[in-house]
Amino acid sequence: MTADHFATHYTAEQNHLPGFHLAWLHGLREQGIERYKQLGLPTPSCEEWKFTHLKRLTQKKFSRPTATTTAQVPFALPCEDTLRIAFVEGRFCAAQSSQTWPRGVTVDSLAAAIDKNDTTLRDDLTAHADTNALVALNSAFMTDGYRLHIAPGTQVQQVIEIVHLGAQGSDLFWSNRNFIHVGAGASATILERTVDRTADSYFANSVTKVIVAEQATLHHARFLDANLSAVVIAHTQAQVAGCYDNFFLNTGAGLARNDIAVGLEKEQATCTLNGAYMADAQQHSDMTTRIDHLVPHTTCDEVFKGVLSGQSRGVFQGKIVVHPNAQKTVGNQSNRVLLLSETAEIDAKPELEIFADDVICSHGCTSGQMDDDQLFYMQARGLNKETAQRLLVHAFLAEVVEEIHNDALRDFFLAQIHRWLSERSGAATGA
Amino acid sequence: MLDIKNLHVKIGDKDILKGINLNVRPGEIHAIMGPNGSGKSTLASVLAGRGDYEMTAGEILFNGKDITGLEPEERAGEGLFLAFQYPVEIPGVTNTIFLREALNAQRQYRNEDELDGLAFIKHLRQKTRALGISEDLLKRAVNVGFSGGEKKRNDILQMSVLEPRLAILDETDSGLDIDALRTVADGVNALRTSDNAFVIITHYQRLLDYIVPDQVHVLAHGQIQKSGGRELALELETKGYSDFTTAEGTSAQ
Repeated sequence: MTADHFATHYTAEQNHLPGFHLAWLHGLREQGIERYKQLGLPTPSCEEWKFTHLKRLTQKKFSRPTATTTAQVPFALPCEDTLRIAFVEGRFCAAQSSQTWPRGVTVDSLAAAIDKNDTTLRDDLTAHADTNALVALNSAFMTDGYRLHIAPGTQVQQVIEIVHLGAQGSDLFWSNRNFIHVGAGASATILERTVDRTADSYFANSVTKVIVAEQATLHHARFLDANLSAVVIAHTQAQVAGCYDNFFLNTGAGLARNDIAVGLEKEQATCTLNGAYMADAQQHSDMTTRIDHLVPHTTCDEVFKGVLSGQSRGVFQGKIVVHPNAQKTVGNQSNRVLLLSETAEIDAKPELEIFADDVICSHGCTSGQMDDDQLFYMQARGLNKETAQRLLVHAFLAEVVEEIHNDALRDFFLAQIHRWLSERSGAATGA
Repeated sequence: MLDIKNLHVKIGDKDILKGINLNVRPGEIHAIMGPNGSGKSTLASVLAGRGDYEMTAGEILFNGKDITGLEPEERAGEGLFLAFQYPVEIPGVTNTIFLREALNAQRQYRNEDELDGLAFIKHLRQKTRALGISEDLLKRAVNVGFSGGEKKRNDILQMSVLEPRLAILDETDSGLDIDALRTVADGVNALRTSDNAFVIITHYQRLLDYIVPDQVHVLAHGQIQKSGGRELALELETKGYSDFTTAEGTSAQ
């Protein structure tokens, strides 16, 4: 095996990484890179990566950004209604983030916490396990990220908008480690966007740890809209005792892998994982979820919709595990995909592992082409084929967006779907 | 208005229509009757421009224009309307939005100004009321969860909103109760002027109790076997289609 680029890069960079002088942190990084070297980048022989090849990570020599760039971060929601957290090339940008936060809401950056040798950070990081090679790689290189803490009982009224703006330089690579902690009885709504406008190729490999305490609610809506040469891999690990509502709209990157693992840890804990992915050209969009029902009386609902055009490839892997004592679990999952071209492809792998006997679980995966009868019916009423297709696709995707509780977010996502469809108007007919 | 000459149509290797001639003038209502498998619905689909048929001979002139090369939406823009035997469900698209998009697409095709939101709603309300259709129907997704009767009424509502020159009703009466049948008939009668025309395709004569045709044609084995006035429909009602189905035995299936 040839020397792994990331391992070599680590050796060169280890004494430049934030907190390199902190023995405990250096120890964690060393563990991370060792684990990474041991596992290597996942290949198709690894069951969880059967459909998503990371070859393109080995074709370029990605390196950490060295210069600090300043770019205007494009927020989507109006300033007066939101709290803001800005990142550029993986670095927290204080100047473009909110300067004051409501009582009960604390925000700092990973880099700042490392600088302060923060003991809570040390506890958080030490408690973490490197579950796979990419998470281990993140542990080795983690440079910045946000730490968002909502104190128990705090109801955050404004939407917290977090924007990760992509690279301005070429072949950059960053590893963010984020923490969201929502205390008991608290509630918050986050809109988290990974975007770039003129960006070049980059590889973003983030890990986000979410804790939702009892009777707390977190609405976590995410949007990925990166360029065709970007590789965006995001791991979200949530420990949920309250209610975690994750919505993900993916219009993609060159390669996007979105991994969400949720543990439902207390009775009455619920989670909804909803979303939609749209891809065309040679885009690759991977949605991988795992929900562990660990105790009795927990509920999960999972609905994803995909629209694939061009030669794009979609992957949906959804695992629901009901642990032996988790009686009265309710778990529903569905993944429905519309293929707009002959050359688009979807690989769907739903998995239910049920070790309790008194549960209600279902899953359904469907994929199909546009319905000719529907198209003809609409054409016979005067709509041209493109408009008919656009209306049908919009309706197909909108269904999942309608579930979003917040009006501003719902409008935002509907507008993104509309934009995606308009940009592809005419190109959507396929081969 | 509609002039079909020597129309031959195939699906795959099978000849379905074998030389249809039909001339419909403005203000007329024609009924096309025939046994199952005679090619009635194929004729409707071919006129509306459905792509899975191959026209091997003949021509279709609509207002003097050959429409055989036109897309379905272009034919709609020319003023042709097909009421479906099985109206299709369109989840997520409300009736109101669908009709507004459709009407404005047709107006655009004809180089007419598009109706703005208000003007359209006025037009839509007026048509809905005239047909005695509940306005709740407008907010629902097109045909989704509609009963068979509601779907057919909805097609008739679409017809009255779009105001076509020629409407083809493809077995719109099949499976309808008497109330729904009346809605269909009222819709046709209300829309009827000296400028437009209707082709009503049906297996039974009962719809023709409410919509009085000028001409009745019997279609069997892919050809029009007999044409006549309204009395022909009544004759078929008592005698059935046996006179027309024996000629080629069961080959018309």
